[in-house]
Amino acid sequence: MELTLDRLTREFGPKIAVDRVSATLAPGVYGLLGANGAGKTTLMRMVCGVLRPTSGEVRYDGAPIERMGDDYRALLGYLPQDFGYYPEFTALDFMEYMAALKGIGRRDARDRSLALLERVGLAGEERRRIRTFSGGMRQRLGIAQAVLNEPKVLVLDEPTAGLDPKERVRFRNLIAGFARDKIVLLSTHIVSDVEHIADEILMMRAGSVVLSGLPAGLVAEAAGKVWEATVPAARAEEFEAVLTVGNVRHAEGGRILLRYVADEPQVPGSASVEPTLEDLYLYVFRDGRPGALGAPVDVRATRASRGDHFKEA
Amino acid sequence: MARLILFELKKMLARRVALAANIGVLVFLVGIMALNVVQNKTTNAQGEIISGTAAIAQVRTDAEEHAGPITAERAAADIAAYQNAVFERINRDAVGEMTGSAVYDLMFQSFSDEEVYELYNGYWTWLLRPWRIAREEPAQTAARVTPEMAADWYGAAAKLTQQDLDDGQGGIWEYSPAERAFWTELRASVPTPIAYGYSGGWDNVVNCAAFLVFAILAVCVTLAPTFSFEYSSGADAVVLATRRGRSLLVVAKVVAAFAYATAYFALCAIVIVGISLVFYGADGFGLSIQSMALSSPYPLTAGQAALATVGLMYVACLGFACLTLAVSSRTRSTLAVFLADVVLVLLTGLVPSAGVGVLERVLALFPLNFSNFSVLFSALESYPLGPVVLDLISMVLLVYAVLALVATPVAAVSFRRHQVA
Repeated sequence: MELTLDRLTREFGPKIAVDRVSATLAPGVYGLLGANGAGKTTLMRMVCGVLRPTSGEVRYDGAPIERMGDDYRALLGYLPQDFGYYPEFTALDFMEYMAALKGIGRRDARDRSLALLERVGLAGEERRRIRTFSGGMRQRLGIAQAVLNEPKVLVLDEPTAGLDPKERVRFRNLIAGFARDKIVLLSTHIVSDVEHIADEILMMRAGSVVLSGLPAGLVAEAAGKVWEATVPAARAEEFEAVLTVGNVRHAEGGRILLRYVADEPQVPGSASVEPTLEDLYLYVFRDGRPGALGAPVDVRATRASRGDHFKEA
Repeated sequence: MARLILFELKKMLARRVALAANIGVLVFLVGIMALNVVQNKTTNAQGEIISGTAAIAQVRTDAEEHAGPITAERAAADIAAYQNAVFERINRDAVGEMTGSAVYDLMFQSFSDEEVYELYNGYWTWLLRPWRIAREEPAQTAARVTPEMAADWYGAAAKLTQQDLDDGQGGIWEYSPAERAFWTELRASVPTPIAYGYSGGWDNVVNCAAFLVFAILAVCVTLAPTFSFEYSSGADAVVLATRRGRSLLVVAKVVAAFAYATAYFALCAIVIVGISLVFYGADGFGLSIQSMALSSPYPLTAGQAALATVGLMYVACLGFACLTLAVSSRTRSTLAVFLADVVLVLLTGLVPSAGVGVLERVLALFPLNFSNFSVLFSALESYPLGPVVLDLISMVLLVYAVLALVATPVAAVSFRRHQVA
């Protein structure tokens, strides 16, 4: 099972939303990281076949998905950003409707719907109208509908947006549970959402994938670029204006502990610290510069056992 | 497929706006039809104003007094009898020089209330229609009719069509020879003798059929979000990524839209036809349409005319349903879809033709206009399309059929090709 993105490009007038992205995805969880407007949603829509690329194509096991049509969509589960729903439907109505759209028989539809609603923590809420649901409940309903057809390709676009931390943790665990033997593409701009569940991270900026690899390998790329320094609290704003600050922690004596990313220490007394994925994210997207880890990253060098299934455009 | 259709119906009807529109229009129709019965007024032979079912019964009695086939002989005999009755007491030569209101006063001076009541029975006005001049009293018309003229009552009735053709709808339309031949032949096909009598229920259906535009509007309100809501809510991304999202879903939406439009229109039509027939009576189905309007050139019965009007409104309803689906598939704004419908369904009834024959013919194609009895059955609205001449009934059928045949694929293709951007 292999999903190939081949020089996938989407233009909206003069704006290039996705710029010649190529990748080959095997089963596993892929965390697509990027700021708002980086092109994640557009890329995912093209992967799901709901948005036609300006050029390039998506292939599933070598077959263009546009040609596969219904056959490809039968393998697909998709939770879009701003998941649209029918407010007057109950959760069970919605699940059964989606089951009908996914070609699942009536009896199976009811059984699977109830089982999935229970699995996502909506047992007992089946008869409630969706409009009365909280954001977290709606997102859980969204993931339930996405996996209703036991998809081979699961695309989740910002599934944790708007959720409180507890809901986000719950959601991450759900996704991890559903991800087995699937190609899961999960986009977010919240690093911690994918830090623990993604087998591989793709970082997007301005329509292009600027960095990719295994989380541990990528984090290692930021080694020696993350610094901590203690500075007077009164100068905090001054430092935040000129540095890419990841964290500010108040210390005793009117001082603060500043954590920042930079090629070289920028504050006297800075000490190098262990990087995290969030530090890497900040480093990559600092000052509006794309992928500035010195020389362009050779993602192939960061591949481990998952193999060379991702390549830069 | 059946499940998808049921879900689509549920989506349509679960929306509060749709629910309110559907129930609101039904309640409105029941109310207006009830008022139509309650507010019905007429005067009896004693000059008293009576209303409601009593008025309906009075009108029925009046019409049934003269019910039956109107042969040429009977027409001539009845006209002679009317002339004898009227001119026995008033001067035949003098009424021609008088104003209508003066003749009216003279009738009351010369006859008892009961006699005047009989002499103003609608039958006499109808019988004298071939020679009647606008704003003329029946006695004035009768004064001009000679026995020879009365003997050729059918010839005079047929000439009404020729007069209308010569008049060219008040000078705004010049009928081509093909159109003249079309209407003349149609008039010639009217079966004789014309059957006169009471057909109040069917008359009322025709008169109230225009209220069905509200049913059409309710259908438009309900169908407006069919596709646009998917786009505006973001549900398009979910459904279009499913196995049947770009294939069977479109079919299910269209079938559900047709099923709903048909069922709802039928319900509204049942209210109008049902209340009319229950209170006004179902008799008179087989009477000639000419008993409702002598100038009509159609070989139809009163009942057929009523059902044809309702049927055409149904055709328009389906046409607008398809148009609504097509517009809905092209825009995210449900309001924009609904406004387009309101303009076409309602506002076209308010646009004057301004004496322009072509505009008159275009406007006649909209439901609020063609549901008017005189526009549909006696205004001689014809459409010369090359060598073929179509009347308004055929043209309405053609236009809405074409609309449905074009709009439905547009809706289907637009949704299938919709890009979530």
